Amino acid sequence: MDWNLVSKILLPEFIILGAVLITILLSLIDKTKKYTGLVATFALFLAALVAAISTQGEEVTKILNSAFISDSLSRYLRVLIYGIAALIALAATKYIEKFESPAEYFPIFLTATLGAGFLAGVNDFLTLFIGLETLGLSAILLVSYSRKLQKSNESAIKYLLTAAVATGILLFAISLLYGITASTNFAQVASRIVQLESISLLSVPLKILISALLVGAIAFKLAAAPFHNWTPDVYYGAPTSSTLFLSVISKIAGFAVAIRVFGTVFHNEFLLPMLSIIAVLSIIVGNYVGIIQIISRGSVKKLLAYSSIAQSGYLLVALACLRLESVGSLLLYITIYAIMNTCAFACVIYFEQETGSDSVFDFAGWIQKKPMLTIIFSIALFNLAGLPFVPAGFIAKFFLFSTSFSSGLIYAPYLVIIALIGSVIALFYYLYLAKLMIVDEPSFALKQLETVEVVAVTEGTSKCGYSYDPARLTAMLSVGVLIIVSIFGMDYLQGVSEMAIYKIGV
Amino acid sequence: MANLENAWLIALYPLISALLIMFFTHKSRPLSMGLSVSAVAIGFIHSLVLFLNFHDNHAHEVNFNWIKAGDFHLEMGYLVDKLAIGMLLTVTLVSFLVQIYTHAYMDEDEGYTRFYSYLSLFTFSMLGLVISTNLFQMYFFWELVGVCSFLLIGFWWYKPSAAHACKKAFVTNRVGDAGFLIGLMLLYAFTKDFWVNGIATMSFTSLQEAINYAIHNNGLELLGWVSVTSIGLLIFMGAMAKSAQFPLHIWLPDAMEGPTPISALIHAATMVAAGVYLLARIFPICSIEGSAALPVIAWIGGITAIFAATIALTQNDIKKALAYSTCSQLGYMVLAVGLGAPIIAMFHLITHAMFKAMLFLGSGSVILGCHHEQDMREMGGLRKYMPITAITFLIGTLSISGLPFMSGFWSKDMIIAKAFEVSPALFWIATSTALLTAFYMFRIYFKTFEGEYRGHAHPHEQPLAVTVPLMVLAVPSIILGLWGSPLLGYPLIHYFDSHFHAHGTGWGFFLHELSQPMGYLPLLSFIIGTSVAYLVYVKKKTINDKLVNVLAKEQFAWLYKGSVNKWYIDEAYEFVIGLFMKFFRATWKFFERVVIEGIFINGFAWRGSELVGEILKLTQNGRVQSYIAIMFVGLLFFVVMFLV
Repeated sequence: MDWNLVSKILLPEFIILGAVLITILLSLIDKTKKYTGLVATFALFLAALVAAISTQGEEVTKILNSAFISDSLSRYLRVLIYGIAALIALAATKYIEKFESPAEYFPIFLTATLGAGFLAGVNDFLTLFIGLETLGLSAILLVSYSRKLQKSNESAIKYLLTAAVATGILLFAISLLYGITASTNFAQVASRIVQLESISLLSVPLKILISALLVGAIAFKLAAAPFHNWTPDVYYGAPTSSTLFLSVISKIAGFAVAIRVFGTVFHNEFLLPMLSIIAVLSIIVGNYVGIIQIISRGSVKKLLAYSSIAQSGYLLVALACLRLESVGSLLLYITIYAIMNTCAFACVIYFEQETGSDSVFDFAGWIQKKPMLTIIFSIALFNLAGLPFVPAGFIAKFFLFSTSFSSGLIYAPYLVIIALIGSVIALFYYLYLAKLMIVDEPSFALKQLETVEVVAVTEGTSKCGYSYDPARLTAMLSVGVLIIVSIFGMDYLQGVSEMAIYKIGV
Repeated sequence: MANLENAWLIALYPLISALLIMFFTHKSRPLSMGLSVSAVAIGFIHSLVLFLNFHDNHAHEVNFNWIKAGDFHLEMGYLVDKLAIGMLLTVTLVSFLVQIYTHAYMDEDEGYTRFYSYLSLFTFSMLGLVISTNLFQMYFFWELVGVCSFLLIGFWWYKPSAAHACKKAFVTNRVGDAGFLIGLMLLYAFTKDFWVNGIATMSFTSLQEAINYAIHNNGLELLGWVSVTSIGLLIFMGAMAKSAQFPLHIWLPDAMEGPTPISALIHAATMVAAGVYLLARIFPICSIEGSAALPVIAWIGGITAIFAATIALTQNDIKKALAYSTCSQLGYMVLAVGLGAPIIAMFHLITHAMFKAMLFLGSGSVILGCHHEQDMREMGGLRKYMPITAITFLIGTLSISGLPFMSGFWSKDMIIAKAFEVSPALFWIATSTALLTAFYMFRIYFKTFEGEYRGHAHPHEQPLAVTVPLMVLAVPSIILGLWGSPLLGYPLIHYFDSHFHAHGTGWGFFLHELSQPMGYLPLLSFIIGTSVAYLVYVKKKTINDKLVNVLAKEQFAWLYKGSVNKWYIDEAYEFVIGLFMKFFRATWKFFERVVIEGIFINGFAWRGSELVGEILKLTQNGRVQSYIAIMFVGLLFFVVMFLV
């Protein structure tokens, strides 16, 4: 094995691994607990930068006994995952201070990110399994982090149990595949399946079973219906930074796996209808229950959970069409979605830091307290809804739907129409939240906040040890990226995402 | 020639002053007034220099690219020809005098500077319209004129009547403009491939060629639903609304709700003139051999002329009576275009601009003098109190009624003579209109300035800012027409149209013409109209101890009522549109309430979404066992569905 090549390709991962060790050590000596977060942020940012500027991905390279593939897609996704993870780590820096032993949060966080990064270049079912478990188990720890809160523990247990089932489903699928192909390597599995099919030795029920199991296991990661039920509960109970991690990084990793497995390894006529069905179900469930969430005065985190289910549905529409163009626009959309969602959750994190609440109605009249952040939050919501207010979200959604529409799949137009109707329904809760924040009178929680602040000021104590609140900084940064991308970078980003798909290696 | 190259500046000056007033000087009255007046004064001098130096018979045209998309391109630019110069002079002169007058009229108004900025904007729009090189650009400025008139008529927006009037003017103009736009699009659709190789789209100078091209190469019919005729008439619809032709005249009298200076400006030189100017520009389209547009235009003009005159007979509001007189005179102009003599129409437009501006400014002076009283029954005998106003008003009255050798006499009689050549019916209409005109104009004059004062205010003459514009306008009202008369050999007509063929010139020809029916009949109608008015309103003749006018009112009560109520045109519109509205309101109300609100909003959107959401929420019961069960059901579903 060529260690030079390995170290060159996996340099970002090595950086993160180093950061894991450093943050563990730091957590022992750092009394103020704020440097671990910053180190993690910096390391992730560096990893994204290294992945972005390295020349890897120009040609397809397989390393570690073909367990990891380095191509344009893996490079693109790793840059995306590490960049977004850096933003999330920044947003979490102050937020997790209120928990016990906050500093250990970041080693776990980095490990989870590492798992997601490996899934971007997965080329073997065993790597896939290990990557998913690295990601999943670390994520469970992240979810359970506020362990004095009952809801956090409940979420963790629920996540653990459902994830265990999903892992079981995945392992069953892998074992069946190994059974028929005697290999776990993607390329070998793919070629063997083609061989078997050509001599009609692959029975139809087996194909259906494997397809269903694979779709189910991956849909679990994507939080797509009907494998979505864990999402609202876990999102609600988890610390908000962990929720953000699950809704963005986990999802990107899930789609990375989905694109690789369905696009290059295991592809048959039953797959696309299954993906279409879960896409439609996700759109319906995400949007309709999202509405109920907002009219029954639920939690903003649950609302965003349903929103993320619906967004998975839109992305699955593109995946179900499975053309180069539609998957390219899927990558574009998931990039924009990651930025938008990070922005929205960063605002929620900031709000929670201030008021300790995440109830929809406590957001009422926020603009009178924090006009800048309210506008940023609204921009994120508008983009999630697909309104051309800072047009990135709109353009990405437009590409997503238009490429799916013209993909040639016989029922693609219907899928797109359903997705469009879903988008219209979703407008209600996105705009309702924006209206609540901008138009309505300040809520009780916000009014109370004022008196607390006055007391704090008169007592002469500073609430915050940071010169600038990190969650707020994250929100500003992500909305800044969004605006810059909308103005200058949509063409570029679209080109890059399409190239990432064209050069995908098998 | 530098002045020619910079002709577009004439339109730009008022725009600059409008913007400066709006954004910078609106706090300072003298500065705003100075800016606005000097902008239009410079424009007038510039136009005058142009007039003296421009002798070409072909147009000077400069175009810039405005919009370009594939084969479609639009230009903006400026076009200077003699027609445009004539209009530029008229517009700038009238606008200049009106703006001086405004200083006195609006002195006590809070919106003094705002009014000046609107005036400047209005003047800009009109001047831009005049120097447009093509129909699209003209449409652009056409709409600007419409917007400005909306702003100015509704200047006292807090008065409900003014608010209604500006709305009415705007909506009525929309109707016409819709026709204009459809006509434009039809024209473009048929001449699309003509506007290549750098010909500015829809440019006036190429209209004739374009329409011939469309007829010969693109199969444009001469008659029919989509034809040269319909295109001409659709564009004429725009002119109908702007120039207040029957049946789209309804906004003009209501526009009197605006301040008097703006009535003068709208009625004399700007808005209503735009329609006639447009007709003069699109004359090549209307006058194509075989098109039926011209007779229709002529008849609409003739009908408007006599129709408005009959209404003007009985109006008691001095400005309303003048408004209907404008309407009637515009009818003459449109009639002239319809008779195939757009140059004569322009001639009448210019002379009419002078005396009508003067009459309106005079009426404003009277209104000021009588402390904002507009009802002529509350006036009378004002000549003693306001001699300058009275004399200038009399000059205007004589001019419009057609006293020989006054401006109005020459231009109107040329139209009537033209009608005599073309159509006897229109000739009789025009002649009887002349009779009515003489009568109602002198009725206004006598009721206002002669007899005893009947009001309760203390009338007084107005300051110089009011009287000087009146006196200045009196000069062209008397003598301008001579330049278009046979006595001097039609120099003004020849200026506009070098191909104009005159039957003869000089005194001999003039006297010969007077001995013909087309000469003596209008003169006779002037004499009859004037003397009847004199007998009725000054001598107060009685028949059976009853005043003649009272008697006439009683004897012809239904006619009188019809005239006073403007022949119930507004009511007819209200009835017809109301009927439609009632029907549609009922059906749409049903549709809105039951289908949209009931079924879609409250049904599908609200209850439906809630129901679906609530049902789906049941799966979200918080039990991890059921979550896992749902996952397995999902898997099982997939397997079973595809196996079976």
